[in-house]
Amino acid sequence: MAQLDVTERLAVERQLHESELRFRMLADNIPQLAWMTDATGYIFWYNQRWFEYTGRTHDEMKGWGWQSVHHPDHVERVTERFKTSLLSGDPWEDTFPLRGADGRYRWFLSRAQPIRDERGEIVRWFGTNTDITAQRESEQVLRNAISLRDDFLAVASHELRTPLMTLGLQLEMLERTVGGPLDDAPDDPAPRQVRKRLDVSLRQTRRLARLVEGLLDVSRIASGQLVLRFERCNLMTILEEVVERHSELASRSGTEVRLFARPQVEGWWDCSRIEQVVTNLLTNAIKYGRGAPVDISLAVHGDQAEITVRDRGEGVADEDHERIFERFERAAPTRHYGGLGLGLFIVDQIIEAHGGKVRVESSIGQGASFIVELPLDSRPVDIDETASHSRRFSP
Amino acid sequence: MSDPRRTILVVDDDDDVRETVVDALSLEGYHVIAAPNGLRALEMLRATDSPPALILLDLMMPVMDGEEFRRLQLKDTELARIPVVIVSAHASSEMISAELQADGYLRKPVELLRLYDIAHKLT
Repeated sequence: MAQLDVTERLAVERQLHESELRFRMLADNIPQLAWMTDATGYIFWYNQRWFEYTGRTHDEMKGWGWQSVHHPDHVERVTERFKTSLLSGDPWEDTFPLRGADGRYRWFLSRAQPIRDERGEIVRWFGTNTDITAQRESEQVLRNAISLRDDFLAVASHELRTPLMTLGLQLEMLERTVGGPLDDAPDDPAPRQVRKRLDVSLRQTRRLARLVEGLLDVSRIASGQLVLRFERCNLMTILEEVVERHSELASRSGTEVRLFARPQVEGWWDCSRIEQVVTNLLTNAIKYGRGAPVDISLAVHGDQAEITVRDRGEGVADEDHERIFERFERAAPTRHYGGLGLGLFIVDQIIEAHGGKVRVESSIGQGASFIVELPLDSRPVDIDETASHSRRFSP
Repeated sequence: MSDPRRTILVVDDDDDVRETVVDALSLEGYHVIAAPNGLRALEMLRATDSPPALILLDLMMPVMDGEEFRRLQLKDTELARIPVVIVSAHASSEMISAELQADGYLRKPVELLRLYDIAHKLT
């Protein structure tokens, strides 16, 4: 019996020893720094990576010696938060720089979990530090790139507006000099041709102005400078005006734009921004609608107005329903359709700032319905008087 | 300056913009004078006995920009009365024109009818 006990004990000890070896092997070969504390937070074990990284010895690091490789700006906070976790028993997580053997700091995401005995008492903490310096650097590079892009957008749209102004005014003055509409022009073909070319030039200049305006809106949104001015207006009037203004564009592409029911819906919005939303949705519908009829409808559900613009074009695939509202995104491939991919982003941002929502219902080959839900009174509920008539928003 | 009520001062550093605006307003029957920066505009205003009825003011200009011009104009009791419209490509020209207590603003590119509209209203 006794002989058996000894054999059994030896077997258990061998198993423990093997398990310990396996653990050391694993702990020394993971890319993270790893360590273990007793219940009081005293570190009694580090993996090999820790010593390689810090260039320090176990004697220097044991207990609370690790504080000497922490950055002086962080060590106090790190210690305090770690002690809080020791007391509460909650898992610990923090991000801080650690000094390497070369004297340089690298950033680590650090976590520790309590290990409990069968009675639920914490006996140890097992912790790791993961080097996230590269991630942090690439995030910084990305942030810099985005901020550079936004600065560039702001400068570019600003710089483009000055020559556009000269061009537009000159063409408009020329239009006045040449005189009335094409139908009234004399039979002499020369003035008719001048008039025609002038029309195209004016149209393209206005298009250029709209594109530049889009860039400016994006840079405004990025810097939180887009301000809404609330006034009372009639949504049906806005729809009718936008349809009227695009009748020429629609007829040139052979598109019939239909406005069915005509309820009079009044509310508080930034009317010129809502007009911009409807314009973007309608020009999109004409652009992607393959010449088939485009239907616009307006309805009221409770305290929400609902505008729907429906085309019968190629449609938008399910997986693109969210993406198309993002900046510089588009559903159609760039090689088939022009544009900057800003229209729906601006629509989404304007509607969101009004406290509303815009979504698309569509599938490939089925056309697309863009649905705008807009609170009848979009004014912010702030009591602050200055905020009650304007609202800034950022993405 | 025959009729001071109908004289407009255009302040803009871009030669083409300035000349185009001068042309456009002249076509509409205004008497138009022009300056390429705020300093020159102030000199012109201080030298004349018949001040203009309206100033169209660009913001970004060398030598003296629109903001500084406006500040100095408001300090001068004689000149402070002349209405000013900010004409700028700046993204926040609306906010800036409110800060400068301007009488209006036009964001570049300005359409001909908008230009005439504001000129009619303020002269």
